[in-house]
Amino acid sequence: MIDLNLIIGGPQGGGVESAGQVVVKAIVLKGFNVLGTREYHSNIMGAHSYYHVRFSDGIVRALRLPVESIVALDAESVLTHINDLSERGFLVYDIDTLSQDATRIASMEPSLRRRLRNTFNSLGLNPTVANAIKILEEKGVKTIGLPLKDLLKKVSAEIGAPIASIAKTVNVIGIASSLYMLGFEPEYISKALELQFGNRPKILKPNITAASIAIEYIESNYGKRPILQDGPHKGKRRMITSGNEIVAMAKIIGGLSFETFYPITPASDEAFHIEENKYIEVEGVEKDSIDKLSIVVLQTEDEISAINMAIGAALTGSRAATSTSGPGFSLMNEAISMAVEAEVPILISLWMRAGPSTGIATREGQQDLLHSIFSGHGDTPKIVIASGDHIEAFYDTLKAMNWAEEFQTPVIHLLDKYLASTITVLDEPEIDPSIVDIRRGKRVESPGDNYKRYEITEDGLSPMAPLGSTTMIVSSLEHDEYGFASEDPIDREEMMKKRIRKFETIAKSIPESEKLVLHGDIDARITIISFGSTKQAILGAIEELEKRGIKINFLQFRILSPFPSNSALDVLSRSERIISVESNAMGQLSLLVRAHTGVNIEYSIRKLNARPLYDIDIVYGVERIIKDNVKSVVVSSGS
Amino acid sequence: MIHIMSLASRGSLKLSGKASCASCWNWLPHVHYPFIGYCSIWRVTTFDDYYCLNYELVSVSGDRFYWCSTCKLRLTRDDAIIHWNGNHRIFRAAYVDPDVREELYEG
Repeated sequence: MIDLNLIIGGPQGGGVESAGQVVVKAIVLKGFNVLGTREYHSNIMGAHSYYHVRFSDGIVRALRLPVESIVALDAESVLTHINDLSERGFLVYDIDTLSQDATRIASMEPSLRRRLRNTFNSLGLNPTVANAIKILEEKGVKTIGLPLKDLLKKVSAEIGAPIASIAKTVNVIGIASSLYMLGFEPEYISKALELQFGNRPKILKPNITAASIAIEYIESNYGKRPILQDGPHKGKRRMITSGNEIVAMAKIIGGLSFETFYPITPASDEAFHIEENKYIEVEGVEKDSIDKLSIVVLQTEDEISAINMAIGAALTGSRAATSTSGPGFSLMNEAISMAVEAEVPILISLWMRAGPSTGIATREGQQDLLHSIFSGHGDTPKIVIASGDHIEAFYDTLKAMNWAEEFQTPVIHLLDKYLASTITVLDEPEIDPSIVDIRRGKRVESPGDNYKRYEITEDGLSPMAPLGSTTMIVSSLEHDEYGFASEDPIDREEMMKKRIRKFETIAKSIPESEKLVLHGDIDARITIISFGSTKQAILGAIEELEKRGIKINFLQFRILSPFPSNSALDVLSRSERIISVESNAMGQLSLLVRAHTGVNIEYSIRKLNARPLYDIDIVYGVERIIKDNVKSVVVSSGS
Repeated sequence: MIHIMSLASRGSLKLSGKASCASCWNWLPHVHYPFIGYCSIWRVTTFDDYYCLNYELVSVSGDRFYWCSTCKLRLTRDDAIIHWNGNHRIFRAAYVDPDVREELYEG
């Protein structure tokens, strides 16, 4: 069984992300399953960022520490990840950084600098890279010092290119060394570089040369490496995608015609991906007409405009969405309320990140569950769905667009930073858009003169005509059946009842199987509850705990509003011990479960350090709860 | 013709060991990899151990902004003097690789 983890660390903006993407591509070409995520600092550039990759010939559910390889493109990466390296692992570093001292690395977080200084001083050492290497070597770690500058000079001399163009190959020298050490044949590295830079030959050539010079250096100094056997998926046509990209794909395939956004991490890449791929070929349509089928992607001046423009587009009959993160979602609150009042179908993709406020803008958090459910003033019921992984994110986006239009309501799709920036590989059959039909609900194109936009109906749903098809009024004010503003007590009461009836229709129409999923043995006495991107880490932990003789099941909440109270109660009432796993401090899902079912969730595993939840975190937490009988465990792994 | 040679190939030319791009006023170090930089005279990127006859020792004197390569910070003259006295590597400015923007976050 192959199951390896690696980290590529370097300065923000120093090519860490491209390096990670090349590594992921090489791994997929070699036939393995892979998960790769980017951890980066929320400053402009220079601070430490890293790419964490896990690959295996089996299923890769979550990232894992410690790792078997670290590529440190600068001194900060060596020192930051000193505890992340397995004893049987190896470190690739730049020999020119040996004398650098943590106390002199200005981009390093002061708290980390202090911790390193204290740890090294307790060993009678200064926190230098040289001493870090010494500590690692004593642990049994193999260290590979690269003369980075000399290797770059060699690249420059070999291709005769200006240094400016070879300066960008530093990262490739690092990853080529690491991949070769892991047993990747050079051709996989070259093919991965071709996939990454194939459309830019001027960039490709120096990178290919850099990779071969790095491999040559490793071979002559550390010997020829044994070749890693190919993975089970070699030669298969597979899709590499991030969470941002797969949601964008679903929106394109699902018939979205209008997307707005104001740039914010970790949401923006979704809109960028739609924009890059908005021209799609359609069978039977002339190529010249393709622009008419394209999606309008609009960067607005702020999030208030973003949602209001999406509302406007939806009223004209377009399938409309907007995409944002916590701070932007705060600005959208008033408009969400309007969309509920005016019964406007819009999809809001909410990519959660670590708050409160701007908090840590580029890190993981699941803190907007309650915010999304209770967003908007007044009684504002709406649909909230949370995706657990890339595949769910794809189908949930398609379903969410349908539900928005079928039920004429805002739908909030909860996603997060971890999903956004995590790359995975999928087989084509896993993504089949034909599974979800496009459904647009009660629509009328020619409503006639006596059209009642808000006609009172049994199911709370009124026929929806596009603006301009007849005389009609849509506003944020309470209204009568025609949409005219009304403060009449009967009109008010009827409209309130209508909106609540509609919410009941939603609750009845969405099958229970869509609302929550029980993973594992129904008779297990311990149940984990969670929502969103913790799913795969929990599944990985359950597999690991089962090997250790602990049987657990997992109740994954998919639809959080309308809340599946009865089905949840059915499962929870059978469990002896319920543990909530959430990346938020308040236990937001636990609060919601108690409010809807009366069940008090006594045990919790929380991750509050704004790093992704690993399966080993949950294994640790569950074991502590069972063996030490603690009620709450805060897990703190990650750099 | 660009007269830039590496220190290793300078032969019998007797320049101070410090007289390389690494301490030249005209040279702007790469933000992340300061052993690479941009020569504002020759308008080319060089390694820090290159040199040429246009060498001019970097100094903090005029009232302008400076770049501290140790701290990766843009500094005023007064701050630059403090960093200089702390043995930080001070330069006239930094070289920002135009591709850096590809990896920045949006806010």
